[in-house]
Amino acid sequence: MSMLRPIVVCALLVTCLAAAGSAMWSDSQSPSPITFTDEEKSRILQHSPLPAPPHDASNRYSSDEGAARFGQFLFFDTRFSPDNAVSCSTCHDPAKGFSDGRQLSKGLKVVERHAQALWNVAHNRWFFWDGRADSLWSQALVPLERPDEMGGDRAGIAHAIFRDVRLRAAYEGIFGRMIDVSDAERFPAHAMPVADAPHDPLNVAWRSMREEDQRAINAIFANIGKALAAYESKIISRDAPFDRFVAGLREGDIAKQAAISDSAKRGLKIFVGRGNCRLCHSGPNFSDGEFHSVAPPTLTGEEPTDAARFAGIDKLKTSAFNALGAFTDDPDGAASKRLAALINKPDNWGQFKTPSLRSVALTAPYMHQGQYGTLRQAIEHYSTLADAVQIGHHREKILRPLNLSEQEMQDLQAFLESLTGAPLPENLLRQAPGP
Amino acid sequence: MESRTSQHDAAMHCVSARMASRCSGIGLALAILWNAAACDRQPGQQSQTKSAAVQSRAALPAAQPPSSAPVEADVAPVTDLQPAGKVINSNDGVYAVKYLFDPAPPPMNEPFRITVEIIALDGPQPDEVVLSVDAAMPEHGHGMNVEPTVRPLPHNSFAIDNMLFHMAGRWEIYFDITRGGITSRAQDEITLE
Repeated sequence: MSMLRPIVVCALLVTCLAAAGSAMWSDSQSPSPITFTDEEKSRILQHSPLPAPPHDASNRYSSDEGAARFGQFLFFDTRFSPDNAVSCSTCHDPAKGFSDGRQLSKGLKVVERHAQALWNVAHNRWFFWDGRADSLWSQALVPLERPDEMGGDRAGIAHAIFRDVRLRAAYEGIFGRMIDVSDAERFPAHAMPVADAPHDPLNVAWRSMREEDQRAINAIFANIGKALAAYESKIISRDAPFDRFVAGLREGDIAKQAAISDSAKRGLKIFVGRGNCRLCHSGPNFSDGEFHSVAPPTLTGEEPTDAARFAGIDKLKTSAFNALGAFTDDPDGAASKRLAALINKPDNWGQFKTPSLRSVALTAPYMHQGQYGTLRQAIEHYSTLADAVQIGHHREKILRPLNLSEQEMQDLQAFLESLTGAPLPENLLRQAPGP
Repeated sequence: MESRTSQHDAAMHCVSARMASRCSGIGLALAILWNAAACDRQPGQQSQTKSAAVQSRAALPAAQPPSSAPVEADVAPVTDLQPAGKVINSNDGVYAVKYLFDPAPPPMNEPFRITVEIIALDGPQPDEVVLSVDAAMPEHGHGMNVEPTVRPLPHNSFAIDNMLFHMAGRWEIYFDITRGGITSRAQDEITLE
């Protein structure tokens, strides 16, 4: 929960709630003493139910069951990592809320940030903490090739799929006939572009390839991402106690309103009220999908050096797999317009994406470096800002200590814990039996 | 959603488009679209708007855009359910700015369009106007994360696409109108719940 948005603007709210009984939304038959004003109710209703993920037109296979099964098989497959030790599930472990429980995640090496949980990942507009990808499928490609994550390369992955009878059959069943990559002269065993290391052997091998062969490899690589995305789109957190409560609020059903505790209801009041958490954690997925600086300290205690969104936009704009690239299935669609309109500015320095709060209780630690091991610690940050760092760039001006009481912190935590969704079907939590 | 005017003078503008127009006054299509509420600039009204600047504005009746209206097929039709467009004056009283959200009210965290018409309050309509549009959240210290596109339409009008208010709260919208090297700003504000 890295983006609870504190602001001290509504000190009279609780008093007003107590005094304005006739103006408040309430039900005299409610067993709960907690009531909500019309304004609070209007805000609460914005957070539930969670709709289906938006259709990703850039991935024509996003709803393809065969692609999802193939992607689920690959998600848990370690063979794309040089030592067969790392898969997507290493850092996005279903048993750990599709994160890894570590502060800084560890693939082949320890990386510089905490692995984001994948709950409702298909609802995102931008991907990674810094938004360096603009589709779920293009996001999935990056860790495959990062030396400190999975350490693979796109040519090696194409070869691995081509060699494996089952993988190749599955691939061709979804995407059509696969180009023959067995000619080692045309298709080196390992190759990929390495922009910042022109003499890297992988880059040299890539540059030795004909442009049309590079494109063929890129197309295979993009399809792998699209299959992974089709699976990841199924990682949905919904039907939480909070959703049952909201349904009860909407329908006037008192029994459903009892789905969350009084403490959680008081926390909800803070969330949509004086806490202003809802400003960034907005909508049914509890995220605006955008980027903010909320001044958590770095793990080392030193000044922040992570440019985050500022660097992420540059990486996104130069990615061959972005919404303006050759491998999108919707070149003139909304995503391409969104990317074309995206601007970078110094204010973006040090801004990280607002994470969803759905099932947040399952995804500790919190913040982009896992700075806070518990929800309580994250709440304390917003309560006091005692550990806030000044990054020398833009910081949310409304970020001010909430000065929460002990009871209020417990209430806010109880509310956040009420966002834990129904478990996913068991068959989505492990490698598919076959590709 | 509330809407209020304000007199802030934040200096932000990031998009522009150049439009050459014939000095022919307000076009029929947009006059119909907006029902020409503030286009009929009677002398008394002119004086009032000049002196009252942004405080002077008129609610524009909703209307179905005529088939000849210079809007694209993807523009949602104006319906009676939508709040009417608005007219504000530039802070220096040189222009009236008539604008309409599409959809209205603007959705939270989703792209929307603003259709704008610029009207000179004194004298003939301008030959050439450069319009820049931006928005910001003064209390937050930031603006939008996207650069809107400004597309000229006939009759000193523009379609502003890719507007996106990504957070709830008070947004200020800035219309910077430049002609002959002189820029006038009209501004309004809207609070998204």
